[in-house]
Amino acid sequence: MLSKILKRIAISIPVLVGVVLAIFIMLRIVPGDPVTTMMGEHVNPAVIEKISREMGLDQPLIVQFFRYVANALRGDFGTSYRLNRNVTQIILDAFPNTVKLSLLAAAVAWVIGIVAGIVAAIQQNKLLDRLFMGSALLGVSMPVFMTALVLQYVFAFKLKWFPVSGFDSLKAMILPAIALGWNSAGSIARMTRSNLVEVMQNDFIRTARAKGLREQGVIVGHALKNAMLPVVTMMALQLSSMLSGAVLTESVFGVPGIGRLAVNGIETRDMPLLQGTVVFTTILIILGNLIADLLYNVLDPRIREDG
Amino acid sequence: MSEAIVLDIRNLRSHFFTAKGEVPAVEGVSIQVPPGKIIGIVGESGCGKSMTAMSVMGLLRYPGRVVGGSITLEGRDITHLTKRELSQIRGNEISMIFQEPMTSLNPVYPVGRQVREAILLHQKMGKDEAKERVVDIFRAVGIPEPEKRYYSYPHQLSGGLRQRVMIGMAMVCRPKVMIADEPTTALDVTIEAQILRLMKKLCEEQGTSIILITHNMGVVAEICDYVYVMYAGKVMEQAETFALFERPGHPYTQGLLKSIPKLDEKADRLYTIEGVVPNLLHLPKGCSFCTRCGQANERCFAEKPYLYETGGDSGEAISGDSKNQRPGSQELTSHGIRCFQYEGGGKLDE
Amino acid sequence: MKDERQEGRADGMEEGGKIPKPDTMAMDAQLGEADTWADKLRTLVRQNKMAAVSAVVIVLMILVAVFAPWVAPYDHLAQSLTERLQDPSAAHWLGTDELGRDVFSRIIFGARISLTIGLVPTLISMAIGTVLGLCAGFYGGKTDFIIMRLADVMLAFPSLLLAMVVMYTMGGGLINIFIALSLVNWAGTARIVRSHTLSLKEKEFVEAARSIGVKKWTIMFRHILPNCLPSLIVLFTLNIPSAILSEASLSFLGIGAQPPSASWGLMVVRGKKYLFSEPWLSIAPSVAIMIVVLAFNFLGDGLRDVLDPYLKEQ
Repeated sequence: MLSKILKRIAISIPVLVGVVLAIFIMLRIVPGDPVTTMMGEHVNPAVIEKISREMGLDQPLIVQFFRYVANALRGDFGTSYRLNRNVTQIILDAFPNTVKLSLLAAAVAWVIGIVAGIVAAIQQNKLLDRLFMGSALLGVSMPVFMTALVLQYVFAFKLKWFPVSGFDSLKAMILPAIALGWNSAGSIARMTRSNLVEVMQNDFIRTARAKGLREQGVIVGHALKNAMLPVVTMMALQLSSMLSGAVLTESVFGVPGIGRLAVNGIETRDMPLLQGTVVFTTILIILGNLIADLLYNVLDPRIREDG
Repeated sequence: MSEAIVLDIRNLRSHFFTAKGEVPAVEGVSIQVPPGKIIGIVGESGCGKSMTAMSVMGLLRYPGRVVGGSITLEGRDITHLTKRELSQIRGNEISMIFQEPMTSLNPVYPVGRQVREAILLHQKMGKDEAKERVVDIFRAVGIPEPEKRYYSYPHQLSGGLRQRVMIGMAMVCRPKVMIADEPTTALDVTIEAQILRLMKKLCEEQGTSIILITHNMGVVAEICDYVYVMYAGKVMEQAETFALFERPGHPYTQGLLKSIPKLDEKADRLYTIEGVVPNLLHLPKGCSFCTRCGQANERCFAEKPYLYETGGDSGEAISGDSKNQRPGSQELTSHGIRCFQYEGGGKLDE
Repeated sequence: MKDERQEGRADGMEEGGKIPKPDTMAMDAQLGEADTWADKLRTLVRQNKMAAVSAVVIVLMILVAVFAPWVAPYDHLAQSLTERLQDPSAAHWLGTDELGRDVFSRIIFGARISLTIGLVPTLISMAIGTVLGLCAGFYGGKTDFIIMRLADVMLAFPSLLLAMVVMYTMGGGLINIFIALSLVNWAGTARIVRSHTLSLKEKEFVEAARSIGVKKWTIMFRHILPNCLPSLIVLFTLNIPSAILSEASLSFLGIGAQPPSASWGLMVVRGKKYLFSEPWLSIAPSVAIMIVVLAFNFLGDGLRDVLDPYLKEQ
C-alpha cells in the first residue's frame, strides 16, 4: 500500500514539473520585452536594463526557470509588476475566498448531484428521471456566467434576498456558490445515474434481490457504494472545472479570489501574477487528483489488497 | 394437487417483450417439486430454464414478464404477490444460487456480512447471534477457517469457495426450495463434484428441495431424482432420472443422451443434433422440435403435440418403497413425453 | 408478425429503455440480427426524440449562420444613437444595445462565430489528438511515454486557465482563440484513441494485415482508425459545446473577441452593465449559447447511446 502511494506520488512529480515548465515557456514567448511592457515605451533604456538585471530577466531561459522553481519551492512566486507586492502574498490573500467559494459550490454540487442521480436511477425512464436528467443536461449546458447572471438578477436584484455582489458574509456567498456548483451538480447527477444504472446490471444485484432485499435496500445497500467509487474520482476532476468556473463566478459577483487575480494578470499584462496564479491553481488540481486516486484505493477493497 | 408438493408450477408462461416482438421464452411449463427432492431442469441455453427459475423467484426484469399460469408455494399462490410479500419469501422460503460465483457477490463488502444480511432480513436475530449463525453455516458448507473467512472480500476467495458462500447464503434461512442455476458450470470438474455432493447433503439434512438447472446430463445423473427436459420454452419430456436415462422417449432427449461422449464406446465423431435451436419469434407451427427431428412427419409440422403419459408406473426403475413412503407424490413416478409417438397415454397438460 | 411487433412496441415504449439490458441483449443475439448503421440511426430517432430534435436545431442554426446577412433583419454593426437600449418590440425583437444595434441581428451573426469556433478548432485539435493517440498506441515504448506524459500535462490544466495563458501570450482576438483552442484540447482525444488502438492492435484483422506486410501507416489509418470512428464521432459532438463555452467564457472575461464583434460571450459581458435595467442584453445571448450547447450535448448523448455505449462520461 505504502509503496503504491509513493509510486503514485512519483508519477505526479514529472507532470508537476511539466506543467510549471509549460506555463513558464508559454508566458515567456510573449513578443516584446516584459520590462518594457511593464514600464511603458518611453522609459530610459538604462533603467529597463537595470530592472531586467534585478529581476534576473537577462539570464538564459533555463537559468531563469530553475531559479523560478527554486524560489517557488521556498514559496516565493516573484513580485507582481503592477501591484509591486509579493505574488505569494497576493495569492494567499485571495486564496481563502476561492477555497470558501469552491467548497460551498462543491457541497451544493455533491448534494444536489448525488441525490438527483440516485432518484433518477431509481425512477429509471420514468417522469422524474426525465425531469432530473433534463435539468442536469441543462445545468451542464448553461454557461457558468449565465447561471450567475440569472441568479443575480432574480434573487439579488428582483427579490433582494441576497446581496448583489461581495463576499464578506455567508449570505453573500450563497449565490456565487450555487452559480458555480450548478454546473458540476449536472455532471455529478448524470454520472451517478449512469453508474448506478450500470451497477444495477451486475450479478451481485441479482443475488441481493434473491436474498429478499427490497429494491430500495438493493440500491442503497449494494449498488450505491459500487457506483460511488468512480464518482469520487469524478469529484476530483470536478475540482478542475470548478476552479475554471470560479474565474467566471468571481468576475460576475466581484469575489476577490484567485480567478480575479488571473484575469487581472492578463488585463494588466502582469506576468508574474498570472504565472503565480496559474501555477498555484494547477498544483492544487494535481494534488486533488492525487488525493482522489489514493482515496479510491482506500475505498475499493479489490485494489486495497494487492499493493 | 397433493399436499406433499412444496412448489407447484402450473402452465407457467413468461414472455420477453422486445422491439422485434413478443418472445415466448417459457410457454406452458408445469413442474412439481416434492419435499426434500432434487428436481433437474435440463436443456440447451435459451430453452427457458433460467427464465422459469427467475419467474419463480419473481425476479424477471423488464422486458420479461410472467403472462400466465400459477406458482404455488405450500398451497399459497405466489404469482400475484406484492413486491413486499415477494421479498419476504425470497431468500427465506425460496432461495437461489447462480452460475457465476465470481460476480454474484458484492465486491465491496466482506462475504460474511453479505450472508448475515440474509438472516437479518428474515429473522429476528441480533447481529452477533446472526454472525455466529453465518460462521456455523460456513462450517457446514465446508469453508475452512470460517471465523476468518467471515471478513474476507469476494476477490480473496476462489471460485469454489465463493460458490460455497453462495450456497451458505441460500441455505442460511433453511428455505423450502433452493433453485440452483448452473451452480457448477463455471467451476473446475473436481470442485463441481464437491459442490454437488454438498448440495445433496444439505438437501437431505435440512429437507430442502432443490431445483437444479443445468445443461449437463452428467450432473443430472449424479444427483437428480426427477428430470424435466426443456426445449424452446416447453417441457419435452419429464421422468424419474433412472427412467429417463434408461428409456428416453422423446427424439430430443434421445439426441441429448447420444451426444454425451462415452468412455466405453468407440466413435469416430461425437453425435450432434443437426440444426440449431429455432428462433423463438418464428417457432414452427407444429412441434417446436420438428425442424431438427429425424422422426418428424407431416403431422409434427402441422400440429402441436401434448405431453403424453407413458405409464412410468409399470417400469421396474421405480422402487416400490419410494412410492409407499410418499403416497401423494405420484408425479415423481410419471413419465411424460411431448411427442405424437406416445399419443396413447393420457395428456398431462391441456 | 406485424401485430406482434405492435404489441412488443406498446410495452417497450412504456419504459423506453435506451440501453439494452443484458437479458434483452442475450435475446437479441439469439434472434441473430445485428444492427447496421442505418438501424442505429433509426433507433436514435425513434428512442431519443431530444437527440433528433437537437439535430434539427443544429442544422437550422448552421443555415441561419451561413445565411446571416439575409436572415438578420438589421445590419449587426449598424449603430443608431436614437434607438439606444430599447426594450424588445415588434421592430427589435430582442431590443437594442447601448449603441442602438439590433440584439436579434447580432445574435444571428454571433452564431457564425460560435459555430465556427465550435467546429473548426475542435476538428483541428481532434485531428492532432487522433494522430498522436494512434502513434502512442501503435508504436508504444518511448513514443507512447512521451506523448502520454505530454497529454497528462495538458490535462492537468483547467482548460480555461490554459486558454487564458495562451491568450496572454498571443493577445486577444478571435483568431487567437481559434489557435488556442486548436492547441489545447487534443489530450482527451489522444487518450481515447490510444486505448482503442491498444486493444485493436491485438485483433486478428490487424495481425493479419501486418503478417502480409501492410505498411504501418496504412494499418493505422486504414485498419485501426475506421474502428475508432464511432467513438470519435461521439467525442466530436461532445467537444463542440465545450469549445463554444470556452470561447464564450474567454470573450466574457474580455480576453477573447474584441468589440465590435458580435461574439455571444462578448455581448453578455457588454450587456452585464445593464443587467438590472435591460436584462435581455446579457440574458438573450446567454440563452443562445445555452441552446447551441444543449443541442450538441443532447445529440452527443444520443449518439453515444447508439454508437458507443462504452464511452463513459468524462
